[in-house]
Amino acid sequence: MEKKRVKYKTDFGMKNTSALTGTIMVFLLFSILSDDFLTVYNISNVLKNCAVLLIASMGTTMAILLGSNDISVGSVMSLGGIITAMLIKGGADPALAAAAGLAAGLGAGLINGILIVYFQANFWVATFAMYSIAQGIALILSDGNGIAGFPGGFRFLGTGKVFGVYFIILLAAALLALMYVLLNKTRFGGYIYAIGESERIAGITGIPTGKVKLLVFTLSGLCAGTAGILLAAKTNVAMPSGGAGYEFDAIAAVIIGGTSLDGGKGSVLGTAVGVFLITVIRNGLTVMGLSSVFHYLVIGLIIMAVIVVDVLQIQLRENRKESDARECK
Amino acid sequence: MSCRYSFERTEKRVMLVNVNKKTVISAYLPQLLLLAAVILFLGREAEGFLTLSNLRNVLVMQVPFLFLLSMGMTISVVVKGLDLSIGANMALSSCVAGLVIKSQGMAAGIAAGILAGCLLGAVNGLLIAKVKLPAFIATYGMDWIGKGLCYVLMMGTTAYGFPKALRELSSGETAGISNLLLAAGIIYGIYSFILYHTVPGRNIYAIGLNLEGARFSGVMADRTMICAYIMNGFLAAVTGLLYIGQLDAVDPTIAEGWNIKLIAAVLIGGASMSGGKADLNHTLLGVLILSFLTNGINLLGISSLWQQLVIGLVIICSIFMDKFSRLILEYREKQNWIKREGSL
Repeated sequence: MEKKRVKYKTDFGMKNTSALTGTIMVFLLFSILSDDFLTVYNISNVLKNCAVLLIASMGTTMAILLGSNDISVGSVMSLGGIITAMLIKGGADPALAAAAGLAAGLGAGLINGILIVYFQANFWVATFAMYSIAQGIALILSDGNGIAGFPGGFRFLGTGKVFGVYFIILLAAALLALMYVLLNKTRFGGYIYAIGESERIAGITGIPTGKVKLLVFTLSGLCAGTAGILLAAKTNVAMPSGGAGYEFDAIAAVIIGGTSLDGGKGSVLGTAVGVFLITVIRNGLTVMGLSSVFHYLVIGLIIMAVIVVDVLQIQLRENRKESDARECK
Repeated sequence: MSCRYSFERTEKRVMLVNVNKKTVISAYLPQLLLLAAVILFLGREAEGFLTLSNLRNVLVMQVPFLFLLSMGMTISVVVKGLDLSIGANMALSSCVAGLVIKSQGMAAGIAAGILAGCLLGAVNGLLIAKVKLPAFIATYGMDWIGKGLCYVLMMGTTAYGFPKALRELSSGETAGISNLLLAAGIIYGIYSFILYHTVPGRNIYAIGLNLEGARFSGVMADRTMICAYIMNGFLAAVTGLLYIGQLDAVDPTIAEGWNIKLIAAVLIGGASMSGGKADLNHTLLGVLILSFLTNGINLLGISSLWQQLVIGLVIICSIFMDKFSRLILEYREKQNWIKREGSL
């Protein structure tokens, strides 16, 4: 692990710069193709969208580093947003309401963790069950309707400015820094990488694998809850399926950011690049005025293409390494 | 007592000459008990549940669709994956079939629909076997792409008014049995035969249980994986065709929300995600449980918003069942050990 830490110090954990180059190219492409893309208004819009997705995908990053995955993110976002919105509409203090939304996310994550750690459930199954349950609860609570119109204090979270920069962007940046420190400078982060590398060996060396996993899934739920609340504050409306699709974007962002799906390799900074790429693509397509009929297909194709190229590249590199090693022998 | 046991038991049954009937039944026991409990509860609580027309409605109109798609999901669980593109595949093949039927006629439409379904399945298989993407990522991506293709193909319109022959196909009867039930039964028979009595079928189980091991013992693993997903896509296409025959219309949202139901049905049937441990009979029981449950929700007058929650709880229930059966297995092994060795 010591060795790994030294390595991450040098390149910030971003092993492949292809994501970064791709992002810059897409960014330039949209800037050339559309006049409305490279404006202050639109770029701050992109960054605001980034902030929500980034916070949601931090939890996914941790889960994937662990060698698992979390697909309940989108639904838990919806649930967090709906609970907060309902409490605010019911007259509760916005801070208290937000705390309740966070608690809902935390609880959902905790249940995921308990199912996975203590009932040895497959992580796809457990988080898929939570996906359905959180979505169901959000639908039942809101009776299937969106809740719109929040007081200014709550809206500040999404649209307020501090020193001329949107608060939500600052918050996401701060959380990103926090997550970077957590993953790279603390023992807990080291445990996550170790478990991702090999859970059995991590267990043998005395790492409390169960507790670490439980904490990771709980934190993932917490991240999703936060993102859901911010989404509601940003758009001024909480929809019972507002977070739908965010789990796909989050997983895609993590993979584009160069984190291996096998776990143990990757960095949260890579995820930030992936988040930016996805948000830019989504925003660029809208700004260019592409008919919404094409959105699903184009975004799906682009994301899948990026993932496939990335995975193939990693495999190619590993094959080359293997053959090099063989030649050395 | 999930299928893991049943599968091991069926393996034993092949090896041992003495077939112990008790073990065969006990492999299905939790699902049968659950089914009985659901039926008893709904029979008591929900008015009109145990009437002939309602049961007929569930068995003829709902179970065949769910079961056909769940068979595909079962195959993907057998090869250690989870196919999230089944819904999109069904929608895509229905849209393709619908459009071609309207313009080129029935036979061409059916062929095109089935081709589209198999093609999407083949792409899934290629992504999983050759690119080595995790099944979940590959199929989730294909879910988006399939849905996207539907929207682009239909351009926001709905195709409706299909020829009578297509409607007859799904709403008619042959020899007093509904065509839907017949189709599901025939495909169930064919797929059972392929999976349990032919070499390619056993290969599908082999690569699910141990991919590398199967490869080393001469199974063409990549090809088998792709075949498994093509079998899966074929089912989605057939279901789509029957479904649009019944609806007499098709639009891109036709299969929204199906995936989660399929996963719930397969898991409550006791399938295990560790590969090679799922079978069609268990899935059938899972489908029956889920269909009765959703029907019961409607009859009890509970808002349909509750459906998602109930399905999620059903999946969690299956996790508990899995854990419970594992505990029982451990206990039995301990007892056997004590019996053999005298003490621990």
